[in-house]
Amino acid sequence: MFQYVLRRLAVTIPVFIAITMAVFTLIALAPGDPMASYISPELGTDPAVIERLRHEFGFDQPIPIRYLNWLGQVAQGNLGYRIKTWDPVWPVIQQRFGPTLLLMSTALIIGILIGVPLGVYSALNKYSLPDMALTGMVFLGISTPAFLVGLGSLYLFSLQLDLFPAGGMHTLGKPESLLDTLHHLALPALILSANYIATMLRYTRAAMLDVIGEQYVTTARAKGLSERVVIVRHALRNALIPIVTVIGFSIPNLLAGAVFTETIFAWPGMGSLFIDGVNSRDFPLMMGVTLVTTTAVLLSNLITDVLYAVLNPKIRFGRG
Amino acid sequence: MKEPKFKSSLFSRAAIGMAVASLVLAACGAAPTAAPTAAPTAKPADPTKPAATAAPAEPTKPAAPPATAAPAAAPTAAPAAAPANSGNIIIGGFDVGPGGFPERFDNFNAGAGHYAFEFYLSKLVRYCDTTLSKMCGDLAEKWEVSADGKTVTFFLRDAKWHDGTKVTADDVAFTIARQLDKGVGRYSGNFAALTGAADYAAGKTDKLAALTVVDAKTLKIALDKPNPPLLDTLSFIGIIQKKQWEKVAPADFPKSDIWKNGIIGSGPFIFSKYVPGQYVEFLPFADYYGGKPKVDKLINRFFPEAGTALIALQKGEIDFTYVTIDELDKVKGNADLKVIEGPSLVGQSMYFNQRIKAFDNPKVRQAVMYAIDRDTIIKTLWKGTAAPSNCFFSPAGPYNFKDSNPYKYDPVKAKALLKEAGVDPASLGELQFLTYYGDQLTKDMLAVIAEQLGAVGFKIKLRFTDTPTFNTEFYNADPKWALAWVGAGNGPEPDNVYTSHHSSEQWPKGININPIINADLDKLLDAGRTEGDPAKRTEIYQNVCKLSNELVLRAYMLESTRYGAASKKLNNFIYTPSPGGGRYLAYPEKWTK
Repeated sequence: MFQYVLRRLAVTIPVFIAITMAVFTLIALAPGDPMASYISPELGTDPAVIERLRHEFGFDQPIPIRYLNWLGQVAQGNLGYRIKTWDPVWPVIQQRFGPTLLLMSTALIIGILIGVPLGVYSALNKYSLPDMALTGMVFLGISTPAFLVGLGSLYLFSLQLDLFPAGGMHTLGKPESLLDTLHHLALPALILSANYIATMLRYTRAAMLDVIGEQYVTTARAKGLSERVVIVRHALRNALIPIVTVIGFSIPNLLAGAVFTETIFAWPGMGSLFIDGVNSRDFPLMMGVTLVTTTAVLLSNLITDVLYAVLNPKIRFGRG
Repeated sequence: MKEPKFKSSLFSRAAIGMAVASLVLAACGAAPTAAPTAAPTAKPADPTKPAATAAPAEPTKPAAPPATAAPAAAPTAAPAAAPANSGNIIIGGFDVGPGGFPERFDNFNAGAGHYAFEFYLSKLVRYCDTTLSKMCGDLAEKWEVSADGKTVTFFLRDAKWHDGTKVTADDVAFTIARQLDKGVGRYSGNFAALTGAADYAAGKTDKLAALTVVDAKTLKIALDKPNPPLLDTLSFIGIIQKKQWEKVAPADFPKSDIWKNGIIGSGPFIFSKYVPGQYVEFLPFADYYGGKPKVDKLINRFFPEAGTALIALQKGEIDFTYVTIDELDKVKGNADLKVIEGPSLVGQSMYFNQRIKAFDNPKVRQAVMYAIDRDTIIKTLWKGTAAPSNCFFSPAGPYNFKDSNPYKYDPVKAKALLKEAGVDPASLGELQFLTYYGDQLTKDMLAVIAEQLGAVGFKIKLRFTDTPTFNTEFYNADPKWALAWVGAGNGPEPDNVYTSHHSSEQWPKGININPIINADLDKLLDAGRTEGDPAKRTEIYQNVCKLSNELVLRAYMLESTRYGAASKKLNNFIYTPSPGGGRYLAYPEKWTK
């Protein structure tokens, strides 16, 4: 097992380099650079100044050199500066961890708590009316664009029904309190959870359907165990593996945040930071966020794989 | 054994990597472009400095009257449900819309965000009211211009910094000199007329000869030539405290953390707390020269999505935000809100790439004007919220030439002019029409224009890009665009026209990008720059307007009205719907709630 983890970590390094290289290249190839983003179309800017800055940031170098420079700095723990504010990138990103984790993990937990039981229910009542209704809702949940749901629910639940505040994380001008933060958190978290609920529901349903027909389930029933015990202890436990995988894949999102929802709800998380970086072609910032996201993806994949073994003794990591 | 359905594999990892990458790409492509009506001005300027030549005072300024202040109406009746921001606290989305500059605090480079700067930074002078027609003192109690126009003496009032020390002429001199230091700000070009400016900027001397600190409260500025635009430039620049900044190397100014962390100003409010991504909090300054402001706290809340700000306003969570023309109806129907409107002072026009042979012919450019049904566009698309412009200057301002040719829609005449010029528009091939405006109104308008130009034979390809992409293509030695839709702040100071119209200011020196090359125009622009007599100056710039209109130096189209909406609970509230780069008057010391 230990060897396996080591091997996996070793594979992670080239994957990490490949991903950051690809993203870096795409950013570099996008039209416009951070300097161009702060020329006013009306005001113009002294080209000499722009050139000096381009040189300072190394934009006059070929892309591979720029990438290596960036990688070299990252290896020394320097993510560079957010060009918009001249703040070091790492603290800027760190500030966003808390709000994004809070928002995304709340959404994920709601997703699991609602999605998994509904998935079990759906599987046990395959092709019934409630099952089909749930399936329909799931597709709606997955396919509705986030910005539409965000603005729509803000209009309905915040403005019309006055149930939730209009974005932000705290009520400004008042002392911060947990209750107040939760009040601000509720609507964006619920909106984001819709997607998780839908995903969890579908995977749980599929996984349950797979195991329900297995012989050990029939055996368990034959032993005279109650249906509840059969489903929860025998079927669900085995169905959990794909569900854990899906949850594992969701972990990186906890750090990466949600671009549209955070932007609409003025939630100071990683997603809104990233889009701000994109709009200002702030490549150190974009690369910083990418770095964090990539690391989270790679680590969570590893953790997911390790969890398999814990959950299912049938899975063993050996050679071949 | 059963394989887990989603075995983690290299493939899935690669897929996630690609998802991240495509997100980047999609975001780059689809980057929300500016706000609607917006003047581009807004975005740009950031940190380091733009400036020098071009810029400063430049385009962005208006010629005319904006805004209405909004004294409010009804005193506060106890609201049924106390809104979140009840009490004596004013919260606004002051950085929403084209005038905003959220989370950028470098006053010397700011191409926008001047509304919020008014809260904590005093200037030497500022416009008296939102008509932007007359200059009043701010830190300067009064000033005198010598008979030859080459010396301006400022007499400071008794004012204090937020740390309790006195504002002195030394501080003001320090602030002005810094504008000429490399890397500090974007106003260096505006101070070129100061005696010794070139030597100082070149580093030949560390003392700017123009500035004489007569005593603690008197500063004398010497000029090589009379420079009427000087006061306007000074109304942009927040005076900073020498003691706080003298140890900061000029090149580090844009990067300095002081701008957002502990900046000492002398304005009515103290910059008290910046919470990244969320808001800035300002507290009243008890020793403000105009008296302590009457509100307990002022908060500038950030909204990455303008639609959210409007909902927050409608809910009473905030007291003010910018609104687009589309949103106007929602606000007008709300009894708790008051709409503040004024000319945007952003002239929207179509640039001709005059390197293309046909476009260097005035007849072709006139034909383009006749081919476009501007009146109908304003009436139907803009719902009447824009005025046709004849030249760079605001149609409502004093420099507009009232008897200009209105170029009434006449496609027959357009075709005749093209024929007269011997130009077959179809022979020009497909013409790229570029803009950074991304709002629906502009998209509709440009589609109409492209179609109408198509009707007289032009083949137009519209391209909507975000600002960085636009800038890369627009400011280019070998531009691929044939036409470009640009908004330019025209401002109260007519000299703003200089860097985009004078032949000496061709890109890359200035922002005369088409380029416009006309000796008569150059003479007028040079004369206007140094003319001290207001009446003569007005006449000069009216002639500039007349010439621009006759020759269609650009296809000057319209100036829109810009809107803000404020809670009726606010009293003496002032908003200047001017272009993104300012001038945003606020007089926040007068606000009450």
